[in-house]
Amino acid sequence: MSGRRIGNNAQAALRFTFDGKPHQGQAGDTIASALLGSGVRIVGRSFKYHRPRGIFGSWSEEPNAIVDVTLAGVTTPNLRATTELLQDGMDIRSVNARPTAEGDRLGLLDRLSPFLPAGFYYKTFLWPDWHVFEPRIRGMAGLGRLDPGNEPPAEAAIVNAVCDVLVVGAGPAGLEAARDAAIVGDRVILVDDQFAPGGSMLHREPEGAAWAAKLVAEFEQAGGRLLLRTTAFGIYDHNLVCCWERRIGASDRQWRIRPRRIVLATGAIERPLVLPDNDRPGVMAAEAALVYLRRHGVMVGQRVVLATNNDRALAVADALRQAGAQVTVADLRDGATIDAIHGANGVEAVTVSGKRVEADCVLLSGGHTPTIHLFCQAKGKLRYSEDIAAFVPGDPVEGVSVIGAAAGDLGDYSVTPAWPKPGSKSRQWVDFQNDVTLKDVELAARENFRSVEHLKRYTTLGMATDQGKTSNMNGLAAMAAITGRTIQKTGTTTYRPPFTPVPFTVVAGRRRGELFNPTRRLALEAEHRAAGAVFREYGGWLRAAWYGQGTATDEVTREARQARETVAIFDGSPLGKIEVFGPQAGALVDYNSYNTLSTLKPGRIRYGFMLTETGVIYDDGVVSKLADDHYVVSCSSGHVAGVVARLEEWRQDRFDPRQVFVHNLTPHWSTLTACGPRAKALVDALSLGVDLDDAALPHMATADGSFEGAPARVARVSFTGDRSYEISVPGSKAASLWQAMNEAGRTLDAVLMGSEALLLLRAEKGYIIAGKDTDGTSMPQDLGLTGPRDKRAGEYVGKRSLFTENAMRDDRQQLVGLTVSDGGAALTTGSHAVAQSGGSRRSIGFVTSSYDSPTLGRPIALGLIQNGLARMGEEIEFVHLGTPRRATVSAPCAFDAEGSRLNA
Amino acid sequence: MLETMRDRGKFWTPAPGLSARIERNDFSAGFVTGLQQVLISGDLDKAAAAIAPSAREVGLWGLAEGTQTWVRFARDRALLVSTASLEIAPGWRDGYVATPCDDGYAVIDLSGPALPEVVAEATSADLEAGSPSAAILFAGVTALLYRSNPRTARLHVESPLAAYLWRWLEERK
Repeated sequence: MSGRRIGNNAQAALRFTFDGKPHQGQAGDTIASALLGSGVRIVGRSFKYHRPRGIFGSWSEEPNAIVDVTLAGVTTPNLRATTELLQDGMDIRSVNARPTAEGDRLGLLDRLSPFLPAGFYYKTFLWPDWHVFEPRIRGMAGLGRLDPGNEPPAEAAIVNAVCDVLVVGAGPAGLEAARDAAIVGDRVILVDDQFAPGGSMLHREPEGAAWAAKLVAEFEQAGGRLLLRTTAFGIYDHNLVCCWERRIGASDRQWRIRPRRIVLATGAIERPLVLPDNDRPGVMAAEAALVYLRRHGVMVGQRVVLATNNDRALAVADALRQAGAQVTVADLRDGATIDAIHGANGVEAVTVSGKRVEADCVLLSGGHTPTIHLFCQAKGKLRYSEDIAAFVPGDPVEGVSVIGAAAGDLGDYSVTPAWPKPGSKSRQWVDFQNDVTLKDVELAARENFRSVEHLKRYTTLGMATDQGKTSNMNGLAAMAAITGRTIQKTGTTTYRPPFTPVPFTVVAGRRRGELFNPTRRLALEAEHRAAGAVFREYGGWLRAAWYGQGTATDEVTREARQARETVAIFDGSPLGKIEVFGPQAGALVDYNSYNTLSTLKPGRIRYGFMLTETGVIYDDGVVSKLADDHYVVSCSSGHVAGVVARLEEWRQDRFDPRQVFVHNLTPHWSTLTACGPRAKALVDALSLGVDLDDAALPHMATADGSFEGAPARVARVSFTGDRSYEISVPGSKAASLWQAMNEAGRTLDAVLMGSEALLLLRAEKGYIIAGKDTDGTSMPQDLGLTGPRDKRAGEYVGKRSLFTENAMRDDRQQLVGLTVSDGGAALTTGSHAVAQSGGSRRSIGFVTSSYDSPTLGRPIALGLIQNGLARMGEEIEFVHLGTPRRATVSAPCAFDAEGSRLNA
Repeated sequence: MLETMRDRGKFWTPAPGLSARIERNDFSAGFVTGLQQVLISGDLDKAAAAIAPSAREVGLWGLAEGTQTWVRFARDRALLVSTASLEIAPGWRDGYVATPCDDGYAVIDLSGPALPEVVAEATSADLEAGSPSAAILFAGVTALLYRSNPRTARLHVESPLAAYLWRWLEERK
């Protein structure tokens, strides 16, 4: 005999399969109630010993009934059968069992249990190496099966809410508290993880549902908000409460609720009694049996033995008897004992006080443990209550109150502790899900893992997906008994979020794909797409890498070659345009920079570095001085936010913040660059109102003009080594400027150039990319730029760090050019420069940039090489993935070293 | 190396044009064009008196009224938003600095019955409590949030991030 349906048959029938066999449940069923109603006893196999297991609980405390569910072609692993609503057409599979829970081939492992105690793998598989065994053991140890084809959509919204009072738990205490708070005008949110409000009232009181409905109506009328099927799974800093809401016909949601006050009415969980063979299918929590009977019309057994140490469970016996079951009560308080539970695949009989009683179900009630997980997450401390033989909340936590059963208020309740008794020869389970027995706890104590935290880690007690909801109390009580300490002294392990397993989809929310790490987008993106651009992310921006349908190498080579021969049009909009204003603007940009900038004449530009406080190169770029109280700081596109932040920091901390201001206008301006021998002709055709004569606008100068009535800034700055003009206009004028430059470029044989060709051209010139050609140790002197360090007076960011012992070392890695000397192709970026040392190779640096130069017709490279500036002309060995190469150290600039092309 | 690079333009949905609209039963969104925007830092009282004395200041979820609004987002910083033309040259004045930045921020209006839900998904700020600063994290990026009328939320977000924010709104179920 096993469970069966005895009522509520008017509900709509729902068909499902379990381990391939067809069954039928009804609307309102959980998977667990449907399985019980269908007479299924074995729903899974235990984690380690593969022992048959049945349903023990009725909600999130369930340790055994973990299932994989396939519905509409989508398989979701490791669902707790007790908390999942049954749906028509579900294909339900047990976990940790092959081929079925009932006929698991690995069931024989249980016979090896004497050789598999807690921590056996630490001892058994030491030789020759644990890693030899690890894959196999891990393969056996998994629970559910992941369906690689199931990629759930990233559509679980994260909803923020603020309220005066958040009540967790819509049982009798929570409902009343929520209703009362709402009536006095507080903004109240009430969350409960069940399908209906009422908590224990729904199965303990005949009119419980009606009572709950009345309170909910009053609560909602007063403006309260009720969220059902919503699990408060974590309390974080500042009492932020995260909740997982499950919805039918819509995606799950995560609520992030910031209440002024949290009321925890989370109830209590019935714990099992630790008895011989207390894990047989058919052994169940007494309260759970009442839930299945009253809420689902399912009788969990016909011949029931109920073992209890408290009087709260006696009502369960009465209810089952009224429903037609034969119930034998073994009240441990009266001296009754459960000596054995018989039946390999399910309860067949029980030896009660030495007498065999035929039974198909054993109900256990070892007392109730307040659900204090969230209180502890909020940094609450617990105290042991002798009155209820359980831990209850200790000193109050600010902003958090605990009420009802969670606070230990269990009403008319008396319990006599019946803790595990060490020394038994039988196998008695403490943690069902992780297969931890009383003997394992004793073993841990013998091996001196006596702290509960050590006990947990050594035996894995409480570490399963049920987080020890039914096992922790018995486990620590067992350790207390073994060590002779009190339970209070023994203490509990640390409670951490989540209260119950939460899907990654809910944790991540919608942040996947394009929403995961958004790129910044160019004003001219549509134009680049129309021109056939191939895109890539550079410095957090989506930019054109090259144009055209040919191979990448061909297109980049074409663009680079043509840029040197005619003129290239390049979108440089992401480069920083950070404007600094005010009487102290010059002092601020000076302090921010390795080079002095305020000595520039208005309209002039200077290249330089920004250093970190440790003297390391943070970024390079140019600064334009437009007026004594107006500078424009340019920087790498990926460093804009960082440069703004450091300017703001020093503005506020070192200068008079009323005398200098920083405006990041990078988003406002779009910048198109014309570079190459015909650049001047192209810009001339744009009629910007700027005198382009080299005397009026020399290299490293800037002038204001206009384009279609809007301001246009023209700057002669070059990142390719050729004559270049950067033209910046407001973003709304960018498309017109793009069109005008393309039209002007038509007769000049202009080429659109993407970032890859630019990177190649700048490498020919030895111009660095900060962070690529420098690393987290590079200082200006490592690039041969010692002038400011040696001569500049006054403070600037990073200055003091340039004079430390480390900064002055003569074996620092320095930037050099590298000329391939073995006749091979370009070096691989990242290749190590090596020196022979005592018969082995030692890295002395690495290749930072490497290209095939179409201009020079040979490979070029830059690298950071130990003492590189003193090694000019020296041939060095490089290694990449075991392949040796050779290259000669040279100057970084491989093309037009005299700079004549800047004015060509 | 080059040959192994994927075209990431295929991964990223093309940026929307300014005429793009989102129309749902309970929610709509669209870009607002033609607004003048000026970034002001420094002595805001002095700036207000000199530039837009009649403009009202709004902070988080404040209600903008009239043709000009000071959208405050720091103690010494605000964005002056105007439907009327403003002739302001960039530069330092005595005590404050002003820079036109019409194209620096994309402006998006959100409205419809689902507006409270959309906003609750985008930001953790307590809108009822408000704040003198209109700057918040909206869908993970910094934006200025206030109302252009009682039932319409207005967002100013740096233009390069508008495509992301639009996608976030568009993909919302």
